[in-house]
Amino acid sequence: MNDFQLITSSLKNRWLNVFLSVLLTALGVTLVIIITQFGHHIHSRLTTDGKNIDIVIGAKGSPLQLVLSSIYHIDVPTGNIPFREAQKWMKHPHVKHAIPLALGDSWKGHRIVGTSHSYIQHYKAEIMTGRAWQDKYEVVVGAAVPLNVDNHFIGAHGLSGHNHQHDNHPYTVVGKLKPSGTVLDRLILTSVNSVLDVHGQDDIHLDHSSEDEHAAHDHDAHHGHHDEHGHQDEHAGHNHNHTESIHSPSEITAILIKTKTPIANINLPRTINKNSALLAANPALETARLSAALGIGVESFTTLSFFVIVIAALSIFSGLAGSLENRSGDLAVLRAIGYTKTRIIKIILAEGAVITTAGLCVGGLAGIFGFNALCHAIAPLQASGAQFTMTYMTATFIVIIFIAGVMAALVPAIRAANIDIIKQLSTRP
Amino acid sequence: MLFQIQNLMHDNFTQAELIPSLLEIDNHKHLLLIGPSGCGKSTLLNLISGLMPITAGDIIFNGQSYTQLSAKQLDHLRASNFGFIFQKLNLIGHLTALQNISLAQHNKDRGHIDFLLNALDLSEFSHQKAKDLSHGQAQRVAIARALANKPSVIFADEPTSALDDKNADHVMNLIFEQAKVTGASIIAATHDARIKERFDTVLEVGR
Repeated sequence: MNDFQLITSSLKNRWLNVFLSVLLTALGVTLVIIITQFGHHIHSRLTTDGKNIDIVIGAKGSPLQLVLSSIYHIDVPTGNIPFREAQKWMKHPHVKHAIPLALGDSWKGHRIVGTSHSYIQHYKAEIMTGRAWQDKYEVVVGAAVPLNVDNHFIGAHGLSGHNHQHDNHPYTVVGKLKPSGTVLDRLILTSVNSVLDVHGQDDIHLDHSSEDEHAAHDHDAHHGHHDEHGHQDEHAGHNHNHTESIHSPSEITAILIKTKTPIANINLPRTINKNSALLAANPALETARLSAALGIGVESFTTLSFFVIVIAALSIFSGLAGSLENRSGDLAVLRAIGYTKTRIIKIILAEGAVITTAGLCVGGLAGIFGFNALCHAIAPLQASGAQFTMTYMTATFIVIIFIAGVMAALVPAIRAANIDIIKQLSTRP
Repeated sequence: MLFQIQNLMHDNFTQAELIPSLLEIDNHKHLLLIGPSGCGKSTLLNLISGLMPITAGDIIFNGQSYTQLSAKQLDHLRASNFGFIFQKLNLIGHLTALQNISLAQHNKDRGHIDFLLNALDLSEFSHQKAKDLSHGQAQRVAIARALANKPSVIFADEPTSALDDKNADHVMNLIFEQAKVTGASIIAATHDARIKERFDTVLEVGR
């Protein structure tokens, strides 16, 4: 009879105890996987979607709100800014690229974003079917938007999709993007002029050759500034002219800027905030604040996961230590017939390893399926294309859990190896 | 010389209180330690078998001094040379009879296991869990386990204490028959005077 048979027989004999230990370990592993995957996904989205965007310019208000609404499209905009004013900063010598965004409408929860083609290029997204928009009311939809080429739809005012519909301005889908794992996957992209036209504002003209945008025709002088709805509610974004007959001056919601130098990242926002009526926000700074505020920083995840691992290790420890009382007679027999202390330690450690491995397998599967199920059940996760990805952190935690599980068996193993043989044999029932 | 026991001392007694200051046991000879309960015979048996550490003096087995051996070497010596029949049998309940026997065998000699199963009439129960065996079956499994590794010494603690005359005779026959086959010496501790005649040397402990 080899030691493996002895271990399996011993575990089977204590199946309920072992089952509970495996269950607790599996629970810990599941939690660790889900926590690390959420952390990875959020971190990935924050970094991917915010990559190469140094400054966001928009209406005065909360910088975090501006960043969330303009980069991640998860909050209402702070308001609109006159395109003429925005244009001044887009053409600033320290600006390398500038992408205009005009928000305000949506379709079934998917935001309609008036922008330039450079927005697609910025995320290195590719068109899967169809083509990019050319004319007004032509749109390109992200991979997660349930629309296909040649579909028609009508946008609703506001960002929830349950408000007034722009019945007179149906959009036509002319292209669909490949999944890019970025915010584009859940957006509906069109020209800035489409959004302006829907809201009764003057066209702007884009200069594609320089990737900058500027107004060839600025009608501010003719129409003056017009703001009828305010900016801080669900309808924030483009002001909605319900009559849609009289054009007002062009306004956009935000500009995403890539600067030419790191020093410009610091100086340009200061200049804008000081010398203009606009707000310039630093996305890196704001997302760091967001992480801290929501407690989703790396440290929070690590600490929480650490406690889960400790719980799992303690369950293995208590399972093995608790069972020692009942099996010390068996262990005394093994010691008496010549099993060395080292061999007894190896046997108990192996039991810990078997329990931990079983917990890792069960918890691993539950964690993967659980996370993927949550990704399907929770709309924002589904929309952002979240799914289980084996990350360095998840793999590290799995290794740490295995080591912790085996280490948890060490104390019971040493105790088992040092039992009083004679006492156990003589007191055994 | 199988065993040479010199000036043995333990925390609870000196050898002088138990047995002569020099005790020698020859190969293939059988020693019985006899005495009333609490006289120290089981302690002496445990000391000789290496299950308890000695405080002073020495035990020399086949030229190897216990005091010179590490704990690991003593474990190996026990595993290779000794077989044990415990008073409470001490089978591992969740293992089968066959597994309990082979547990003590370190050289994987399946032929010898089969021989023991046949000789002790255990073949029929070999795959039965030890906890489900009758006392008689369990006693035979314990004897088979003690013989599994073809030991040169079999230590038996009160092997017949709870048995009637007939069963005591049967058990001692089994142990001595198998010891004869393997050429093992038997060192037993008991208060049961019925089995005295079977041993070459009988030592009354504590007198």
